[in-house]
Amino acid sequence: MPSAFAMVAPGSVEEALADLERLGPNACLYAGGVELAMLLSTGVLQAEYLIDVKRVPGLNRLEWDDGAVRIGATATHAEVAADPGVRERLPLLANAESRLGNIRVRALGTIGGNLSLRYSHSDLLPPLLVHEATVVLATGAGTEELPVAAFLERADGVVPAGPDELRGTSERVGMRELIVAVRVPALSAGWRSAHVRAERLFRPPDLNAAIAVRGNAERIEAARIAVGCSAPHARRLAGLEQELPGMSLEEARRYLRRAEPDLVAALELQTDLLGSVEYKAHLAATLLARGLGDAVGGGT
Amino acid sequence: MAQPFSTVEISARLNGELWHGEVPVDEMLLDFLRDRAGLRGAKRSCQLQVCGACTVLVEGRPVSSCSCLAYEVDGHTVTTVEGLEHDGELNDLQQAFVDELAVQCGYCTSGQLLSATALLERREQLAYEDVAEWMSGNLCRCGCYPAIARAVMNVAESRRNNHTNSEE
Repeated sequence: MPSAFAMVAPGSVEEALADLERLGPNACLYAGGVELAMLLSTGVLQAEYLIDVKRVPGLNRLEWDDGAVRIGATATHAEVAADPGVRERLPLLANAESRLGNIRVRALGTIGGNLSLRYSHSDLLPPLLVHEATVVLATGAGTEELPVAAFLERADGVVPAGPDELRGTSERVGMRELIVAVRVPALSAGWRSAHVRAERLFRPPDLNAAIAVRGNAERIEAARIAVGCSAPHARRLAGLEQELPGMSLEEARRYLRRAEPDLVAALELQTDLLGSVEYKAHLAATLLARGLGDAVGGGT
Repeated sequence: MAQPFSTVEISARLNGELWHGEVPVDEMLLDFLRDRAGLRGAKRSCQLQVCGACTVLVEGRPVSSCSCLAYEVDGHTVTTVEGLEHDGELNDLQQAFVDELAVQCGYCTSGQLLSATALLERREQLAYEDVAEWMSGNLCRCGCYPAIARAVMNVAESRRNNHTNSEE
């Protein structure tokens, strides 16, 4: 039986970009294959060519530089989760990576592949937003570095509508762009963090959040909060981050209970198969209160 | 620029035996194992990487063979459930599954065994929660979870004891 697609195995990022340009919209980048192979095998997605960037030498490397780790796009979730430097200096990310999907997804899936999907239920996005991580893109014009939030926003314009939407979301970010790395700065001294998620068995999380705080149970001095799953994509809650400083943990918990209605707009909650708007707002407030407690109480 | 190819020659060690040949690049590892290599222990089920029935080990790492291209195993070792027994005898983990009645219909069992094999390679000491966390991606519709966890924990304990005794 003839193969449904052909494989291209570039030896460098430059070659991959050239292949992207040459093969055009008939090609998908193949960075981990976790989602892409599934979409292809079930016939949901058709592609004439897969450009295998997993074999580009060095694209899976983790390097520390000036308090930040640069994680190569084809580093697998399992590799990131197990990296001693990440575990010690970025425990929030290590924690999220070790809970993503299941052991098989973590063995094959890559951080670049996950990001390129811009999947709103990804466990990685809230931690990356809290860490103020950036996405390093190789383009025909050179290298570009975008904050994760900007990368997610821009994606809305990149992903085409209609049947091609899946093609657009599958492991590529645009015709001549390739995610080459994610740069994640460590939190400064004094910050503690927590990753919280609510899931029903065997599915991606219904809601997830990453929380980092400076301070203690008597007084929260600063907070960074990002929530995934409920909005079109994960996002920081700037309003909440401004309100919490000065509160004790108990005051913050009470505030979150009162703020449930505000979370509907802040997270752009919608009633769907996962639950009603009211349920999701309650879930978000509960999860955030729990995460704050985890972070203030020691966290990671 | 790299040239496209639609078939590829791969060499892989399947349960210790070298396999060499040509495969289409779109062939899934599950199809390769079942239809080309004659290893039918891995089962097709959800095809969404959720159920774990198709789990095999590639270089000791659990992989959903339903969603992994056969092309990926070139140059690697692959272990399927057929590779667990020794000279026709069940290995200790397989025997523990029998002893604990950790099987009803058996459809998920090969995947359970391989995920547990990988866990036991990584950890010597296991609590129920460790097994539940690691194995949460292997579904058993018959609900044998407690028995499966007991079997895995029993093997961990007995291997630990054997290791300790062999050192004394």
